[in-house]
Amino acid sequence: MNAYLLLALAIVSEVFGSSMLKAANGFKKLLPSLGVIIGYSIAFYALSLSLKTLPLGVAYAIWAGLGTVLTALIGITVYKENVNGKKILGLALIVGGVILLNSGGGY
Amino acid sequence: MRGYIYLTISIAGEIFATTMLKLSDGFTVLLPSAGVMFGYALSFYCLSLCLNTVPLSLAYAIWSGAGTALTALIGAILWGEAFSSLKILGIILIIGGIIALNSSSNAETAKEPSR
Repeated sequence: MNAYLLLALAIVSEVFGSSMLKAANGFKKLLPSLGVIIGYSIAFYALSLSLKTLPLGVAYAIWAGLGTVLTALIGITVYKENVNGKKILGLALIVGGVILLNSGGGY
Repeated sequence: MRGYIYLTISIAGEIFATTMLKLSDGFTVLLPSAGVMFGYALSFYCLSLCLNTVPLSLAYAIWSGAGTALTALIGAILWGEAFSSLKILGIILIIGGIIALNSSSNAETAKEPSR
């Protein structure tokens, strides 16, 4: 499977897993708890597979950055959190940084 | 002060785990795979301890910023990954963005102790 596809899968799974964390209520609720375990398992497995191809520093930065972006976007769209200048700046910085990493290339 | 020691250990554990993740070659090599689990367990345990005294947004900013930067450094040192100025700038932008997103008003700064 393409390394970038694996990285994307890792990002989505991790965000899914951490979003289930709150609903799991200290691992007392079964379905969300399963969601946490499955989400994080897929995330780290997919990440490890992508690391066979991608450089560690780049892959990790993209994973952390886009994971934060996705979490913020879910907060804004699903949980109706407010949009402010700092958030927009944060999103822009991360997206810009990811684009730079991919154009800086050499791997 | 103790909180920041836990934070440092947490960051070290996370970087160790991520390095082991690459060494595990898709979780096919045994020792690194065990190292991943040990590293993340230590990291999250110490992070939860540190959050007793360190404000959440500050802890997360330091944790993700230092973690991302040090992981890139390890990639360059251990695997000889390219360290171009474009790449350094890209990582700086990402770290800045993560910190900006997590310090916005929805972050739990309500628990911050007054200085």
